[in-house]
Amino acid sequence: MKKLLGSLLACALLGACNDSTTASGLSAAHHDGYFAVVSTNYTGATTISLLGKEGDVVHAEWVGSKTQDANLRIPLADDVVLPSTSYSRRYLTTIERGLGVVTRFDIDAGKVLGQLRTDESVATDKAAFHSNPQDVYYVSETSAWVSRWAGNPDKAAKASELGTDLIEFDPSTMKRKGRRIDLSQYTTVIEEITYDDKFNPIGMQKSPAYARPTALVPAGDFVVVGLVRATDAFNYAPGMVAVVDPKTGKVSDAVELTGASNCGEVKPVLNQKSQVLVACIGAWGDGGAAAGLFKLAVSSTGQATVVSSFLVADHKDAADTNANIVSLGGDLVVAVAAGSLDAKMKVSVPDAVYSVDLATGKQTKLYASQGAYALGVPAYDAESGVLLVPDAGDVSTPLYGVERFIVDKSGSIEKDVFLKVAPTTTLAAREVHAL
Amino acid sequence: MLYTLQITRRSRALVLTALLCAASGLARARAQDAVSRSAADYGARAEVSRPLASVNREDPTAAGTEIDTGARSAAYETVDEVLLEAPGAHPLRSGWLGSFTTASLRGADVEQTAVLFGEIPISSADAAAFDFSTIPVELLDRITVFRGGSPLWLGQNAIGGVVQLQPRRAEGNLLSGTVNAGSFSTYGVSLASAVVPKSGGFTLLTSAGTLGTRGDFAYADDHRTPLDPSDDSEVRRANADMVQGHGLVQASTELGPGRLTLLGLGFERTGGEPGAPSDPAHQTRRSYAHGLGGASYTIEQTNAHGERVLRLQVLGSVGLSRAHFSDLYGEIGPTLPKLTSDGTVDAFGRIAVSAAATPFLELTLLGSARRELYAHDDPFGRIPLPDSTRSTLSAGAEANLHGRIAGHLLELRPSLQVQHAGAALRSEHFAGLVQTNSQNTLPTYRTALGVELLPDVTLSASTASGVRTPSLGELFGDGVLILGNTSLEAEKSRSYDIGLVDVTCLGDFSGSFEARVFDLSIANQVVFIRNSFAQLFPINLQHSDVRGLELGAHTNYGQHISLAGAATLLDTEGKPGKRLPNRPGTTFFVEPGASTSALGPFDALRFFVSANYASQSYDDPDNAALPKHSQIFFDAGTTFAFAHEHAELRITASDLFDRGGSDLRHFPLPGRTVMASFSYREDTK
Repeated sequence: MKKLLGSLLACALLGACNDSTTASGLSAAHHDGYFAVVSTNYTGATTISLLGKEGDVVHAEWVGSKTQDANLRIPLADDVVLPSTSYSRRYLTTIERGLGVVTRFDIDAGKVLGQLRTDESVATDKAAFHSNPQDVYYVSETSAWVSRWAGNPDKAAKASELGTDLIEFDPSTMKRKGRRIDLSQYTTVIEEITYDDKFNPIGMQKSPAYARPTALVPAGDFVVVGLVRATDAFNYAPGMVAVVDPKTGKVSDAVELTGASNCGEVKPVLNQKSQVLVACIGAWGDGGAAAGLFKLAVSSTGQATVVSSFLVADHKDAADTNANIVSLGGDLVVAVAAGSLDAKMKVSVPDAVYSVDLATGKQTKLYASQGAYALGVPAYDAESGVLLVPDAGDVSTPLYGVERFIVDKSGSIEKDVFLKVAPTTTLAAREVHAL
Repeated sequence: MLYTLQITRRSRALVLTALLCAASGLARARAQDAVSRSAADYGARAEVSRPLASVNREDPTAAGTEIDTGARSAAYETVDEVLLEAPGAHPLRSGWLGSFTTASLRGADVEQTAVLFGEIPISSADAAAFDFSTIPVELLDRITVFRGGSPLWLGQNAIGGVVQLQPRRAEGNLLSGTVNAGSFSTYGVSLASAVVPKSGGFTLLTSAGTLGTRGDFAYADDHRTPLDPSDDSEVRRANADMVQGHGLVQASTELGPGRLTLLGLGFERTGGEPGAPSDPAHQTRRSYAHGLGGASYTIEQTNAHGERVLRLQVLGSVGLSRAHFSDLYGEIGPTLPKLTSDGTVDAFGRIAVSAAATPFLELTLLGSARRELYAHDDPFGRIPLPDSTRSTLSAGAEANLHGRIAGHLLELRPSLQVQHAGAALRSEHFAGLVQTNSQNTLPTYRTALGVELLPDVTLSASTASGVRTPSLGELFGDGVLILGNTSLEAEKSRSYDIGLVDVTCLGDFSGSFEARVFDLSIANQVVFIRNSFAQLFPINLQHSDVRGLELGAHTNYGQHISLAGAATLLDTEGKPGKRLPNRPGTTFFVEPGASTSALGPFDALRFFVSANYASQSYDDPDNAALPKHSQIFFDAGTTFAFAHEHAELRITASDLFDRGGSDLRHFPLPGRTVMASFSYREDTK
């Protein structure tokens, strides 16, 4: 009551009670971060923590939706991801996919370097185009590329706003440079089932499976682009990745990943600069029929070849390790097999993280979470041997942090401790990236 | 004890307060008859027994506040603006005129608010929160907001409470017309007529109107790069136009020992969906229409002392609604085209009876049945969806033990209600059809006590339980990014409250005051969890608690000074240690008013100012984002009454200091707006 009366009085006297927030809220972090962890509830709140090389928390909430800067509230809210690769430990880049905004931070200086909007929606553009940016690859201090998942439904839009492409921007100014790599040539047509109004199948129809470019990972002087190739109904064309030359802005190659589909995730191979790993999820609920992991090598002319692979369907009773991958070097990959929920949304099969040897096809379970769809994007630091895997736990007993594993010189992996990365929040960790 | 009341012709708000003073409340039905007669026959005399002091006419033990919508000060008002006067109510608006508007009661979720049109339920378990913007205020006589448990007569068991919208009735011969005009090319016309023959018997009321606006207010566009001011600009909201029309017909006639009433309501709105301010949608359109037809037969009998001995109501209604949404370019949300058409058919029937079994005991029995059908069509959908249906049967009993102990009036109202719902629901899950039949039986109770502490002061206390069955969206998701959960259990609540109501007349001063503390505990609350594949799915996870204090006042000093106010203090907890989202700790509304006697060419000049404040609140359940700023808005208005008070010109400025601010979705509000209305009426009471 006293508070209410106070509010009434203050408002009457001042004539206004609208708050204002002006502080930037960021602090300089001076090279002490080795990992960045994205923790989010996907419903309006995100925080990014900086961890040391042992996984120790250096800055529990370095930047996020609660940073005391109202201008960061929206760009760091709902659907925030980090690039697949880091240009420099000094910088942090966030991608707000729903909003279509890339924000670049200087960790050392504790400031925002700039923001890029990845699409335009001028009044003459019939569709308020949502580009849905997926990844950023920095070529240099003056050139970087963003992948845009979505195509513009307005086919009459100007070329720069057609989507299904990579667009170039200048990181020093955070302005677009005008170059674009069109990937719509990898859109194809597949057949989908049609139904009558009683949901009886009545035939097939041809639907476009759009290229839907996602991850951008360097391989030598080129960049491998993950392609999801999905229809609007999320049926998938055969798996494929494209290879582009970021200097010339041209496509150099595309390779079909036989037996797999939905191949959006790409990661570097440790100590192999011309190689990448690709994870293919397949279709939801297909039991791994089109899921697998691939290691590709890219030649000096930008041609990609499959070096080794692990198709889940080729291995009896294999776990469906199809996403959230990181290379431990050579043919050894850490990957997550997503669990499942029963009709009561209880965990029937929990998520598990495995090491997979692409050369031998051997899977080794490292850890099972309590929850399904709980293990996120892992990261590995070869120098310290620390492997971090985000774990949200079960929804009834949630966890807010990452599982730490120790990888020794022989390649043996031991589960270590659970680390709470933002201990004062109730935000689940979803991604870890090496800076 | 009998009081005599005499009412002179004044504004209806003053009449209501005078009635409150004279009758020290409107709670008991035996007083309701007298009140209704008196309100309809200004200048008449009536005798009523003084019941417990209350600010609603249905139940003095309930936390219910009645707001007269027939005597408003502003040029044009919406239901959510009226609800500001109800303590414990927190209206939430998603934009300007014509945008989705709903209300949270006592910190409960907006889906936990039940809405009645008279006694007909118009909110649904399978829909999202009720959109109050689809009911124009001019179709209503009054709004009663029950927080926590509500009287059995209403047949509801909502967790937050019940908003009862009482349709306008014929109270005398009337012919009136109103023209509205305002900012952003807003225009409106409405007409109303009523026929009440002196011989009584048949009455007829008709009301119809239209309202339109371009809604193209200016706002600052940060181009989605708030940290880069170089691309900021001021632009006008595009595709925010809307036009709506409404109509109400209510005919009533004496028939046998009771009264037969027929009611028809229609509403339609069509307009643009402007989208996010920095991501405007230029092509997206939506329309919504609903119609409601109902018939009721009511018998009310009183004894020689004016005390009600019987109230019987048989009611049946059919409601239809159709919502179209056209987003052919995928401007809203994911880049997928949408052309959806959602239709509902809602049939409802009920029988309710209250009878005085003894001089100190009134029994109320209630039975109701409801069947709802949902049809969804989207040619761009991945699969066609067959219709879904839900059937609900409810039965309940309430005892009203009333009398006098040690010279103090007392009412004790225990009640029990059982609801059985069966649903056959259809949805899509990754291009597959999910069909589920669910059945649940949900008992709820309420026990409420009212004690006359002083002749004008009532102490009331209650405990009640509430339920909400999971909605269609929660059970089945949207087939894209929201996973359904067919095993969801109903949300259940326990609430407690205790408070005082005072209805006072001291010389020229008259007023009603209420103050209550309450505690609301909700189990099995449905919350959406998002997994690492960006899919949302609902679970019964959360146990949330809300504690608060609600204060309300309506006062008049003589005929020239008035004050309406409401305040709510809330302390909430959802996730452990975290506040529930969108629940400001403090909200208040205060509206002082003044009027003059005849002045120059005018019969009266009236003025008001109002302040509406909401403290900061989080909008995420983890309280891990910057809280939304506190906001306060000041409105002011004046009314010029002339032509022997047959004509009124009202001018109202909203958001007087042009604060702007933002709505629930962080979308900009228009800032200062001006509305004017000119009305003329010929009436006899």
